[in-house]
Amino acid sequence: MAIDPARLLETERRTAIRALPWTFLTFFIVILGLTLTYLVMRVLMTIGGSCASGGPYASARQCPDVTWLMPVGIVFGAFAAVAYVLVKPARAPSFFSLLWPALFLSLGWNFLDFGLHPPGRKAGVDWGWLVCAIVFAIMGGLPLFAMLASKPLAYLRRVFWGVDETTPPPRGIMPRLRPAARFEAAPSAQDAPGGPDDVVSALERLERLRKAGALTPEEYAAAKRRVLGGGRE
Amino acid sequence: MTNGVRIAYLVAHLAAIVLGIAAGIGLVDWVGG
Repeated sequence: MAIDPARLLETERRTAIRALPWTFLTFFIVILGLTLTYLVMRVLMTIGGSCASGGPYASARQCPDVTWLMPVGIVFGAFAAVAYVLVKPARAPSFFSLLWPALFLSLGWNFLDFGLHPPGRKAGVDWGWLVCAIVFAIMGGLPLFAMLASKPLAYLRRVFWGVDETTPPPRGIMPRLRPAARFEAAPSAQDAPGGPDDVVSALERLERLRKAGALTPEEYAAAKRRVLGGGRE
Repeated sequence: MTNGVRIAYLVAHLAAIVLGIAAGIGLVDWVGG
């Protein structure tokens, strides 16, 4: 079956552009949820770290008006994080791996800040909160360190620029949303060594080489036939 | 994936971070009165 490379690339581009607003929306809700959790936690820590409202008992510390924003932020943020992974194209920039460190390091900072300067005290520290700060710093910092330690530039490139075309893309949870996955039905594409994503990458590289003048039209056509036909002329 | 699309995704992520933080601050201020 013949595949038009230009159409293939154009379809991948359109798929990615269609997913862009959804990626923005889901990531926006994730960040909103993180921010609400961080800010409401600070409000609650200012009044001692706990509160209660409603019920038959008289609470010593009534919850502030903003308290309900924290559970709402956590629940919606978590659902949005899952949705973000599902809608974002596999090769696009991905901030997902930063979310866990962002959550634990930001909340850990609250524990540290209020542990060193406990509200209502002139001096001294709150060791209960400082222990929480250490635990949260480890939980958020260790994964971040592990991701950055081996190949920091490659990791940062993956986060801010996306998966490189020469690298096999990560397997998405929903393969049908991955760019170029819709071409899996083409037999010649399936015959290619790494699957359809490799075909797209190879075609993109060929296109760039042709535009740069490194390949003559004849060489480009021959190479294209090899990519699409898995080496068969 | 073209460079233009990658840049669009990067900008969308950065915009979501800025707007998400701003919306969070605004919401807490508004609800907290």
